[in-house]
Amino acid sequence: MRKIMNNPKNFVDDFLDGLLKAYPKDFRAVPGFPRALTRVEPSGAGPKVAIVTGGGSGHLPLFLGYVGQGLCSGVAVGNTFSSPSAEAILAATKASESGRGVLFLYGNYSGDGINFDDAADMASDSGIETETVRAADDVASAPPSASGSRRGVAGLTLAYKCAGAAAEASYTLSDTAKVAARSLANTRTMGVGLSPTIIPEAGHPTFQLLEGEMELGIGIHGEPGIRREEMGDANHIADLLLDGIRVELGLSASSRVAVLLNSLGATPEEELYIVYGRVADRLAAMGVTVYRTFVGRYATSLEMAGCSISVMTLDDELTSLLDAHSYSPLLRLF
Amino acid sequence: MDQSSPNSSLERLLKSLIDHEEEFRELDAAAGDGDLGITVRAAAAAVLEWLPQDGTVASTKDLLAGMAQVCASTSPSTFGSLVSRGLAAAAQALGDEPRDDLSSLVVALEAGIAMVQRRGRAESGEKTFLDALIPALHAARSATSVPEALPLMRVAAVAGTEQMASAVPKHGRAAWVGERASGIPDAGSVVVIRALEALEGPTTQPWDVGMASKR
Repeated sequence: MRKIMNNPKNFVDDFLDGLLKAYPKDFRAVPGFPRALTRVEPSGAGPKVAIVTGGGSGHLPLFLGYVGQGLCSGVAVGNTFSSPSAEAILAATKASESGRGVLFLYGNYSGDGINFDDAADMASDSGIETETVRAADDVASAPPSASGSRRGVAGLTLAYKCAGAAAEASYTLSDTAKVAARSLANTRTMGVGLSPTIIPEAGHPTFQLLEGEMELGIGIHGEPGIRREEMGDANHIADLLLDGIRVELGLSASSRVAVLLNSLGATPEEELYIVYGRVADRLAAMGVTVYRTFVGRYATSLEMAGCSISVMTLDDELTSLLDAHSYSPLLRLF
Repeated sequence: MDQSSPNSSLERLLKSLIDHEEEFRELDAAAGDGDLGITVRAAAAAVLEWLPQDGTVASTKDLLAGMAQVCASTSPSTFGSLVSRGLAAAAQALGDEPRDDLSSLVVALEAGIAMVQRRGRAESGEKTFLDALIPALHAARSATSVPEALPLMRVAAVAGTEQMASAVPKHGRAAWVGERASGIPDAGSVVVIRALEALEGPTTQPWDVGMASKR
């Protein structure tokens, strides 16, 4: 294992400590709850729907990188690949809300669901209204007939952007939740893994791949995907991933889309652009209009090599929300 | 469950879970994301630390409620969260009503299992740790004392787990692996088995997982 760290058991607390020191004007920990972070709101900010997210660590910039202007207001941070506690979620909720309710927006994982649901009950007891939207954009994790059980991956970030813009534009809680749900209903993601990831606290790769083999449909925790097959070139990978998502999205010559090409951690941007070149050609050949493109690290799995492609079909409202300004020190071009 | 020293059998259980971290990690890595070993070790270590060391013994209800809280804050993973909610439900079901040890065990297990089923939206036969827990509960009901119940529970938990090893999981991250997890016993069920073995005592012959295939 080649990792730069101190005590592996303190991996999460140590990176949080450094991150808070790096961006004191952007993030702060809720007093007494080191695993609950909120945005430092500018003085004079009016009340708005607060979006609270959270999940396991190991995915930066997901989840806490999406706390920022026009994005989420608070986040609960779990151990590596493990849900945050309900008490951390509740702390982030109480510290973020400004009277207009709280949207819980996170990935569809059983542990996160249990803890966010408990936090929602406790928030309700404190008089805070919440709504919940879970991302389930990974087509490789379940067939269309069981799409509700799919896991949430990189497509979640596009929902943050649209729902965050809606909250900023003074949408109500119910309307902000509808934007988040529609963003996700319009988004599909599929990924490919080329090398495993190592949980710092465990020190072992989560799976093994043979040289020249790739895992098609891999999850952001190294969950196995649809199948393993011989490593192909970038065009082949682009085709496999795009073909995995385009039918369900119903892409046609009248479609307008945003494309998010995401590195799972180790894969460099150069390789992402090679894949994107093919994706752009394929979409152009189908007559699809690519309105926005995001290429980079948006939802990673520590040092895993590989990438994922997310495509979101846009209507007029989602287009304008996607265009709204957003800022977090962990993101660029978002 | 050992009348003379409730804390010492609990400590033995927790230490055994810590010792089996690697086994849980490997089983979970074969089906899920491999964090179960860390989750269980962290929770067990935190409960050990939390247990009063001065020989004072809390009521079973307070013990279970306290363990639930420690699990919820240290290991809020799927497994940790479900165990925590199960322990809390067990504590609530026990209340302050006096019962003999076996009735306490059955009442606590019934309430804990019901809560895990509700929050995990799972039933037996879906390759989760319920496949070890539910047969163990049935075995406990057929016993006349806790010392008689423990070996019966262990054997039942092993049988339930082995029976499901060839099945395809339906829940959690393991579900996404689908058929590849066939042949591998459910990691959570193995945690239950190791816990029951430790409760029974150090002379118990540990069950051989005998994984059909390792990734």
